[in-house]
Amino acid sequence: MKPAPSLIRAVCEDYGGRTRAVLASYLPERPRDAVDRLITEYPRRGGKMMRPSLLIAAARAFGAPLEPALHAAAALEMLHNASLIHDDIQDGSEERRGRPALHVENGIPVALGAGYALALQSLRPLIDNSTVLGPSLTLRVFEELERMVSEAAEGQALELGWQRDNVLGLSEADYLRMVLKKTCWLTFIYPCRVGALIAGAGEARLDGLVRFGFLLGAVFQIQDDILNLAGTHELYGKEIDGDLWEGKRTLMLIHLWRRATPGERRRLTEILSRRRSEQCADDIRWLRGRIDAYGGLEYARQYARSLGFAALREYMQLFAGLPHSRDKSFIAELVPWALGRSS
Amino acid sequence: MDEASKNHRARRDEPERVRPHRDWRGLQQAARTWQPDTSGMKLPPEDRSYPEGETWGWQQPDGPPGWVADGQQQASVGEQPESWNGAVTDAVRMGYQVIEEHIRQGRRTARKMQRHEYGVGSLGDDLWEALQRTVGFSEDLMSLWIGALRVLLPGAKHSSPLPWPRFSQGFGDNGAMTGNGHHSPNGRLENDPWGPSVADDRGAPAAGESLSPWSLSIDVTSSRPTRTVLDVELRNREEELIVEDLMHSSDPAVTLSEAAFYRTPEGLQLRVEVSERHPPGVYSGFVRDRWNGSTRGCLRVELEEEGLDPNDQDLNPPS
Repeated sequence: MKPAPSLIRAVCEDYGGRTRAVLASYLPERPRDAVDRLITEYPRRGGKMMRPSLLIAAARAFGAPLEPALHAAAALEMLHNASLIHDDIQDGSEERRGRPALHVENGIPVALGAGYALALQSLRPLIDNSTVLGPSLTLRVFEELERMVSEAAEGQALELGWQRDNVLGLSEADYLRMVLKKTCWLTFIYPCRVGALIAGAGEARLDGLVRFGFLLGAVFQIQDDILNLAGTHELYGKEIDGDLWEGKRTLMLIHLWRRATPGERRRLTEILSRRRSEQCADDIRWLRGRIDAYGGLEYARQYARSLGFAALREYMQLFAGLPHSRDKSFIAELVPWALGRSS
Repeated sequence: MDEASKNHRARRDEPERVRPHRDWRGLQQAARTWQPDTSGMKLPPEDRSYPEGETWGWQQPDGPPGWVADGQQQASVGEQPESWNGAVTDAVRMGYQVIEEHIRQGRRTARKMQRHEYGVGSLGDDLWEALQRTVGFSEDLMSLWIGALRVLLPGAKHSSPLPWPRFSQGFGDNGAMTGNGHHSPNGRLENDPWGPSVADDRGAPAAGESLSPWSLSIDVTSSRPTRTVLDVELRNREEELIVEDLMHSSDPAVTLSEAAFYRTPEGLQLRVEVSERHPPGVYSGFVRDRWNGSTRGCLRVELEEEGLDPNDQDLNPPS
């Protein structure tokens, strides 16, 4: 497979840089307290800027002007940063973007506050967009945001509920449902739909973007789960095997459960019932060994590949008739990129 | 393949036409020895929410979900391939089933969210309470802001409740037309020796671009029943496309590399050659621009087992 990483990188650098500039204009110039300092610094930790780039590319591909797309993208990036802070607290994650998670560095109360502050700030660029988009479209974007926040929160609740209740024997459909809510809405569906909305796309096209965003998002999440086990810390930026320590229900774990012998299932149940702080490295190594033994990684790769082709087909139905542009090509290349990415 | 060899290619006899084969998955019915375990999930509704015949993955599971090997021996590294099948067979079908369900249940779920019914029991520790507060905060915050916007933006037309996307139709029932394996640029083309070729016309040419008289066709050389599905975006007459090695769905090491585009007087032709060495299954890969590598589409080749006669199976029970 030969994705076009150079195009992905170029567009993310271009649109990401523009988004960062707009985003910075909404953050405190002179931090007054610890929370101000954190919300000013945290978005600068880096990141691929894929979400805002996708929003802008979708808007441009459908014919929207750049400026309102940039503001919507800045809002999305702020909200994404806020969600990362809270996700890390909820998941007990220790690292983010190659550094200690915010709550590890500053404590949970301060990190929670920073997350809320960023989430609140993220609304401001959308308000400012009303002068360009007009009141009706601005409200429509807010309704889209409302739905995305609800979906993402429910997806996170689903996943945490599974971990907390030690739910085992989940199906792939359960996993996909969770991913649809937890990942796809924030990362792909919302950016595509808001971009299309800004360009004045109709409901029929918006419907198709849910399909495309879901399929692409599922590929992205499965690959993320794979990288968590098989990636390199340097490229991935997060803790390798962190999902196992946290007991996340990934496709590989679902596959392992299905294939495991009764004895293995008993041990799995015991390991996964523990909190992260109670886990031991030997058990995690055993888990990882069982996943490898049953071909879990390759299974997940092939699963993602199947969904990836379906995503590309959805793309063709949505975008093939639009004038050719870098933005359109960028969106198409996201499919092979999501399948082959290493970071 | 060069022009000379093209003219001397061995071709199998035209397969005898049978009734239209409308369900690729049905081909496997006779060989299946198990039924999917549906205890943990809802069956897909009768109305299809996924492409007709779409699998993009394994064709034949080797055991039901939840299957546990006899003997209780632990697997060792390297024995995985036989165990991949199962649910991956229907990855795409399942994906579309999830979206369909998502739309149907969306509003109901949203209402449950407001009542804090997450289906995971009432949990009392700090983490769960913090999560509930976060969810509640998000909901309250958004409602507050949208309410404020309605006040601040008096000209806004309130369109809520937001219409949930519809997923009631599958791919196959939208704009399909029959043909002879030829199709105008952009869109979908299928070549199925057991039934009529079907072209899906939804990938329309770019605005201002007329439907040119040249065509895209598929030529498959295979001694076994083979279905080929091409989704491709063509931008101009001059471009050159390549097909990456098509990867077998259950064994990535097995590839089908004999697939390429050729120019013909009528337009562009995809030629696929399947040899005896290719095991049955689904092969898939990307279609790219030869010169800049950009993604232009995807190709799937579904290769049936030798000797499987569609007449022996009840593929399309009378409705």
